[in-house]
Amino acid sequence: MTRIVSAAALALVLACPMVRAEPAAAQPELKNDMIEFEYVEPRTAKFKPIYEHLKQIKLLERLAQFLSPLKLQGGLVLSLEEGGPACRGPNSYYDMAGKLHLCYSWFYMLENEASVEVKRPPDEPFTATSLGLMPGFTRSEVLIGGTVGVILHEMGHALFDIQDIPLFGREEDGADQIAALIMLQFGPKVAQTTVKGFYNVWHHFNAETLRAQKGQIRPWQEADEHSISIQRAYNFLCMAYGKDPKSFQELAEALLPRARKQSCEDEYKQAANAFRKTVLPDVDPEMMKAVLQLEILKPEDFK
Amino acid sequence: MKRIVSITAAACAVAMVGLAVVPAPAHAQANIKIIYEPPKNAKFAPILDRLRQRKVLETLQQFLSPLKFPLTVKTAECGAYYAQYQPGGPVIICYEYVDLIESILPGEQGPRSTDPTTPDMFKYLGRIGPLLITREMATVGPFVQHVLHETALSVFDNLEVPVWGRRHDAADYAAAFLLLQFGTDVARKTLYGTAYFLNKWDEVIREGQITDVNYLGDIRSTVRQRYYNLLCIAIGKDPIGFSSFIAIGRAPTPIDLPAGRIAHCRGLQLAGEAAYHSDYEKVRRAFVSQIMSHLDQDALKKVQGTKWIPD
Repeated sequence: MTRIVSAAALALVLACPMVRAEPAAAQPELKNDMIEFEYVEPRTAKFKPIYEHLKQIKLLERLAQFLSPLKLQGGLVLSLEEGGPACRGPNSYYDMAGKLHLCYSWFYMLENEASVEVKRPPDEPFTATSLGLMPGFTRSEVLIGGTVGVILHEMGHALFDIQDIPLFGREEDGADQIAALIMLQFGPKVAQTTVKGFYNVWHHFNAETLRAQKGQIRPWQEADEHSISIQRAYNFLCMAYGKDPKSFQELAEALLPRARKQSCEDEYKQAANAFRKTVLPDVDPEMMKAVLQLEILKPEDFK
Repeated sequence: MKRIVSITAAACAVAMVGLAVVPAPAHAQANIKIIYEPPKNAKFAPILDRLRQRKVLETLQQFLSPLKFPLTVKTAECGAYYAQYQPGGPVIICYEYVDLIESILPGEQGPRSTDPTTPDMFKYLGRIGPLLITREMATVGPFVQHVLHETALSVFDNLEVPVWGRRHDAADYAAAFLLLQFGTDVARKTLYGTAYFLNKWDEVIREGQITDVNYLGDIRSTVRQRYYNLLCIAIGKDPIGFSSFIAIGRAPTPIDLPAGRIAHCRGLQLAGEAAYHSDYEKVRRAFVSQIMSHLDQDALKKVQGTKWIPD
């Protein structure tokens, strides 16, 4: 449990750089009255350590600070909870009524499944159906990427809904694009950590499904409003490679289909254009400056 | 081959020209440039001939007349089904894609009328679920859908439309949305035809490609995903008209849009979630807020008022 706590804390330090900044005298307070949060004590014993530690490190307070520059058109409640059926899965979700549900099941999965190295016979290669930690990846990357990724994805849904952002494409892929885009604004190191980690999470889910389906992809998977897990992994990596081909060259060479790499720059530019036109106008410039002064978020990335 | 091409050209002409030709606004002639590019492969020459003979691009020029920005539309041999859209570049309809559509038209193996008075278009019928599909529908639908898809990519680019979600899915959504704007008859013929095409295409390629990383990692969704995306918009707008793709009172098949997806497509309330907009409504709102003001409204009314496909 200690590991997930430290990883989550690290994730927030990475993703919410303002929390470690020394506030300058002229800087605005990173607070937004439209954002509330709640820690809901879990019913299930296995989730209690997660609840206690995430509360201790002030996960939601920090997330609220991270979101504070947004001029939201409606209230947003951040809830860390065990939840009901929608939290099983594992899952986290935005309920289209102003509440972002971060489920303990997701963090439990990160800690106990996706980031765990599964022992294989020495001569058995890691394949598409191999579970857990990928070779060359670290447990902390998966914990960080999986934490930051799910928060930003669900935040994307919240933005689409609360800000009434126009949607031509599939919303789930759009939420992934918002998550990837933000992950990539904190410099190469943070980008590498979070993108690798989230890629590993989707590889793990894909492996689980392939095993259950005897190596096949069934039409019902293709009917889902989400892309297939491995497609989501490719989409994240493609955005990263499109933004920073140098930093992600090795990863893209190993994991991304060759033909796809050609379109990654355009895919990143598409998302950056959408962000600039639909999200950035509702970001408080003064509060944004407080973030930008940390030299992690760079304004030129959105121009 | 000749027969199929003839049907294709006729169907395209029917689809694009319609019975009543709209006088194109003057600016459309200047803004929309058309090119029939000769193919190198003789295999595609008959396709070009028929498209040219039936003035398909000229008709498309009129159909696109509401667009205010300069646009070039051309038919060409691409070496693949698609020519990747280049920013600022033309809309390209590849002969290979037209050939693909023709290659999986309803054939002689399917249900066939033995009545000599039956018109040719009804002699060869395909099937998707309970629906019978004519060759006309299986040609017109996917051809027009493809043209609208490629044009949507150009519109996104030229107007710098903010697009969240994968671009080709957005283009498919926009194409399906547009096909639903010309009345129930046009919507059903074109969308049934496109559904037939995508379903058959998936059946043909599925076994060899579905686990291929290049196929799953492509910039486009899988063919089967595109099929369900099409149904999502159609059922989002008209669940009764497209109820053949909803498993009610029977076991679901891959033809059907699964219940879980329908809930999202229709914007229904799920456990723990509030009701929200259907995917169709999301696209409609995006179209109105991002594109409508860039269209010539008088030309748009004329295009919408035209009967593009005969009863």
